[in-house]
Amino acid sequence: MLTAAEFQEELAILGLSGRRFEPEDYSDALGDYLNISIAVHVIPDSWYPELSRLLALSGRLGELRYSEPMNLAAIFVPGSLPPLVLTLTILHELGHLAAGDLLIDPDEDDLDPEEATFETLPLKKGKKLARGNPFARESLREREANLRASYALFAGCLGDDSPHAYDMYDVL
Amino acid sequence: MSAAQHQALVLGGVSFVAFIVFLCFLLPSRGTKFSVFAACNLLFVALMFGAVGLVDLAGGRAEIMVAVMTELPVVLIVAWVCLALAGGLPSRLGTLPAEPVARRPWLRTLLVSAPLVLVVSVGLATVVGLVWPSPALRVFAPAPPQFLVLKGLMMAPEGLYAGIAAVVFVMAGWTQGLKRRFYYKNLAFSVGMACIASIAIESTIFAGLRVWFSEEGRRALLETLNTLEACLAIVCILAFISGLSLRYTPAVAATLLYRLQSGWLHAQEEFESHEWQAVSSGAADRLAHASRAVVEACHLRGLSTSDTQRALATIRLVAVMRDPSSETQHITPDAARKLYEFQQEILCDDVLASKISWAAGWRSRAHEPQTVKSAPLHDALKAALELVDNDVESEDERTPPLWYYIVAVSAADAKMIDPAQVSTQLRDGPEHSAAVEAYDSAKRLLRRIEDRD
Repeated sequence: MLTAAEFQEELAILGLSGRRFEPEDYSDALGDYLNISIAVHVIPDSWYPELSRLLALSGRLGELRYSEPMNLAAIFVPGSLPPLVLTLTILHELGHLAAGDLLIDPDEDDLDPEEATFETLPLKKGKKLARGNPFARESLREREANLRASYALFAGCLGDDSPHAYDMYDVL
Repeated sequence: MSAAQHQALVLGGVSFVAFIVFLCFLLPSRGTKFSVFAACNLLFVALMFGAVGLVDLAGGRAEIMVAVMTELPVVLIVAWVCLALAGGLPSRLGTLPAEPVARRPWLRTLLVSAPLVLVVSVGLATVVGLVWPSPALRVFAPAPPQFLVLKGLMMAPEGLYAGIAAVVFVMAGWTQGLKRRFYYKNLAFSVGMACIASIAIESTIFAGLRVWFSEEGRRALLETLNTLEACLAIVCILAFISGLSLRYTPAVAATLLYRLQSGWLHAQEEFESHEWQAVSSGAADRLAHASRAVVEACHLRGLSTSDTQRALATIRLVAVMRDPSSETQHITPDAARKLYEFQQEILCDDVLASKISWAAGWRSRAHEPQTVKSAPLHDALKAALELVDNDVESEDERTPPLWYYIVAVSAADAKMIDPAQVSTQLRDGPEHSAAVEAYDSAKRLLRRIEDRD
């Protein structure tokens, strides 16, 4: 599983390590690094009242769509989400993009997830931020996206007060 | 005493003093793995130079072995520093690379190769020295060209890697917005590594002079270079001592951060998302009407937006906690109490409470970010627990705010809580009467609007 130190390395690659940042900055930096356009759509309940209900009934908080030919990722979240949950949901979906979860070859995705505890999957062409390949088991991919979201939230709040950021400037 | 012995005694003395400084001042207060390693190396160097200074070692191969042994600690220091910068040390000793290295994979590959290249070069130099012995320790004696090959093999990689490390330290210290202490710390290490690189270059030039320079004038030049080397060694050690003694303690410890992440953040996200799911899927069906009335009553009494939000958050919580459906099973008084305790823990730490914040919406920099204290959920949790949980005794002796009365009246009216309990709890004071009046007016207003529609 992704550690806070490994995530700090990812932030350094994006040029965000040791800096205070908002989820928007993370999204922009990730988009630039992956060379894709990331659009986040916060849909107010008044525009599409059914979205919140449908998502809530399905047990989800947001939706990520990725178009490889158009180099475009779109994240949809209902505007009625509480601010902290909204932030974490967007960061969670961005975490899937960082991990390269959307680049998994569909032919490989039929691997029996119960047998493949911490196995990873090969990827189609495309860029990812994470060092390793995505997990075969979906529940692990979700857990890792949650971890990325929480690491990103704290790293963005703390900037160079984060003990992990501090480690990158004090290697001896 | 020969000139070689004199030079060895000077360098041995410097190393020994540095070892004592490490032992007495640095290690007790700042015992990083590197400072322990550096102290061991200094002791080893001091002993080696001491032995050379006291025993006149003449004879080709013995001189080569001693020369290599005295160089070995410096090689090990350079290898350790390069590995540390690349984040290549075993995880027990720290795994994070320096920030500029993390952004440049090629630099990381280059730095990780340092130990192997340095060990191979020292090995090759030893072989060259043993096959073609030369007067390595007799510093002013003329030397054969093989001596320059030996020195070059050892010094070129050492100088190169030390130079790269010096540049990386400068880059790390130069990062914008970095605390001054990190800037000086990295600058000190950069000076230390630059000194090692300079000594390597100086050593190679020294060897070249011994090979090619004629007797007259050579000695004066070599003596100057010897003095320069001693000065560089002193500056290098002082720079490392300064760098290691500059301490910085992050405002938030890693263990606390982990506890916040696995405790508070996890609990709050789970709680709020379950609550949102319960409300959005229509599980708490009594909520819609009650919340409209609460908002309207708050407006009628001229309450601030933040108080209205607190009232709304509280009525949502009470509705969800009192809803018997399966969608609301995760939102229990126990879960609410646990989350409230986590939040209180953060609020006890002023630094932490001011730093942990999140945006009020996407790309909404104009709005103030929310904190644990400012988010409506914190007060709402306390209020909802007081209303729902009969066992809870309010710790606060002050009169509750008006929004609390409005929520209590609304929740009692919607049969979410026992009306008799509310009357007892609120003691029918003037705030209670004001809340009842505002709530009744709000209900009448909403009914009129509904009838008109």
